[in-house]
Amino acid sequence: MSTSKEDRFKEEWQEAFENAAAEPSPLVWSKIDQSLTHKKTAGIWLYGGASVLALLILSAIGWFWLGFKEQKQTSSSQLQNTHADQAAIFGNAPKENKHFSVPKQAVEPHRTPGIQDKEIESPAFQKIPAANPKNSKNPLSQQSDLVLQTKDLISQPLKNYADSNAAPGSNPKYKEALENELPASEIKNSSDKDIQMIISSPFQEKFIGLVHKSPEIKNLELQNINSKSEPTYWISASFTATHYQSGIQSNLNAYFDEYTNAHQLNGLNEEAFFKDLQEDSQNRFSYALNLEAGYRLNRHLQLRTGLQYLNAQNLQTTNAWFTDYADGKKYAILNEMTQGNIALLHLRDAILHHPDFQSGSGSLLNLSHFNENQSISLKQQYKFLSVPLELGWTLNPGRIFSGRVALTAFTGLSVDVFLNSRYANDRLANNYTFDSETAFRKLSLRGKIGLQLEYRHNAHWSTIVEPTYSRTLHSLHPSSDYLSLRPQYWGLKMGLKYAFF
Amino acid sequence: MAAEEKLIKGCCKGKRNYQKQLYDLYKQKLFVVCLRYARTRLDAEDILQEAFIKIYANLKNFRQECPLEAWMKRIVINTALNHNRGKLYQFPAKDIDDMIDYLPDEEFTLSNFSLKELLHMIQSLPDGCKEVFNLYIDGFKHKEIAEKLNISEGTSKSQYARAKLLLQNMIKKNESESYEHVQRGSF
Repeated sequence: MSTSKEDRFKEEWQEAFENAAAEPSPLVWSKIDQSLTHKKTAGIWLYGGASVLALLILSAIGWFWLGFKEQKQTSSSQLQNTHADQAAIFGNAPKENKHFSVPKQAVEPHRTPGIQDKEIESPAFQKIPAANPKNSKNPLSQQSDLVLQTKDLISQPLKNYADSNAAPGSNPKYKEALENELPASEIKNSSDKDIQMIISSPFQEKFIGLVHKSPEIKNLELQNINSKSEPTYWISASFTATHYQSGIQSNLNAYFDEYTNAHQLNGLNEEAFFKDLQEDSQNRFSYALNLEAGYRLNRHLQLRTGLQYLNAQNLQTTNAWFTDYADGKKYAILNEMTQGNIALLHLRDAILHHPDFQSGSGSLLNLSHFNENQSISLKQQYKFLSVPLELGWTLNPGRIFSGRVALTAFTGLSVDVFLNSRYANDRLANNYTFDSETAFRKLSLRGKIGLQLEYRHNAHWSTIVEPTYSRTLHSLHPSSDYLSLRPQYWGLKMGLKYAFF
Repeated sequence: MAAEEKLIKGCCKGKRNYQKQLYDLYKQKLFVVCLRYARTRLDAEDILQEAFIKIYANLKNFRQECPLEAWMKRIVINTALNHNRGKLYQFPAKDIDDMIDYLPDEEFTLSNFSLKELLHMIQSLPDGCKEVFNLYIDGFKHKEIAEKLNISEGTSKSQYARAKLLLQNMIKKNESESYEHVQRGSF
């Protein structure tokens, strides 16, 4: 064929369509208008929500950080005051000691009146000077040693004394202190190791009480011990078996009104006009793969984030239709509600590919060959990449099985990045894949809750099991007012966790 | 031109009355393009809606290097191709030379056909060659079509030839049917 004939054919068709015009349905602008409004509103909500969330998290981190800083300062100040209190009890504070020195300013200005007054009145404090009146050349020095050593025993119980080569009962400081509290038979032939064992026992409480009667200080010391047993950072890898529900919600009344107005159809009985969308969802194998990292803010509170790959699929069936009384035929309501709603678009295509389907005139699909009770099934698959941000509250820090088992409640939000969606049914020759932004929102927010059971194998490794529930906070696609898709996910997360100290 | 610029600026600012004006100005012409690429009128309306949302979102990037209508038409075509993606049947691997051998060498005219009939003919084409044919009459070269549809240039040519053959057959059939209809009606 010559080039001129080729061009002639092309030009003929180009000319035929050059000034061609056709009027689209009035519904098109109505839907564009809705999409533009929805997009604007959704953008405000999404960015507003993300900003509020970021602000809350930053505030929480700042609050806890400041809280810790303040607590640390208080702890240091209280210990200094204790030393100052000791000096005050014994009358003359030494300027320097070989074990520790009491800062000058700590003796007077930093004293806590409440604690000091209480402890001066305490009979326990009065016992100490009475315990060693003979051997003590410098009672304050001896007591200061005792305070220090006792503190060491609390925070490092097995460190200093287990390897001691000293002869049994050779440390006069402990011996003298204990003589006032234990019968002589118990002290006799005891070594420093024995003393350490005793101090680790319930006697520890009594012995500490001799020196530190202040409950505030005692709590701080205990908190110090516990905080050393709690990891600060952790990472985990887990698998979540998931049950997925598409969560379709329809508002056919609104659709009916708009449709009849647009087509100037008056006097139609709404109830007789359509049958509501009867949608059923059956679970197919869905799962999520999680890589997470966490930071413990305190004994109870922790922050968790990470990366999640979510693959959700289900089998959806529907038998929605409506009757057009103009011709008495049944029409798939799904076909009239397609744009902006991919679930319906799926189903429309399922209808289009149905062997009984016969194409009708105009824009409506003629389903007169359909049995009205016949349902259409469609397998849907959605893929997301998610970034969760959650706060966890440990309900029982270190209270069950010597701290081996921890129960933590998590709640938070997840930003889901849409990857793609595939759908198919038995009648379709091809599987269709959607990855356009217009079909689904590129970003969506999901609320999450979970209750994590953690079993610690050792200081670093733990096994975690966590029932979870999450739901998308808004429709997954830029939907109309007629229909929305807000999936729900029930899951059981199982995995391993590694903690850093 | 000044009115068009004002319209563009208004749309960029998100003013709904300007967006509606733009829609009203071009909806009919662009809807014909949608109808050519779509399988049904409903599909065409979906494409038109999706395309206009893209147009409003990207209008700020329009540099006026080409007429606005051509720019909008390009968006409509891309939207239509994206809309139909995955729905295309497999392209039959038939050689271009074989197809050309079958092409009838007859003169023809489309002036006797209504727009509805022409659209019906195009919509009746298999999806694969319909895309190629539409792109070709929209001014794309075979090389560009091949890139757009991710097919080889040879396949584009063979699909166009196939579309041409099918359309010519349809034209011939319609002409003879209408002739018979006229004959029956006259007696």
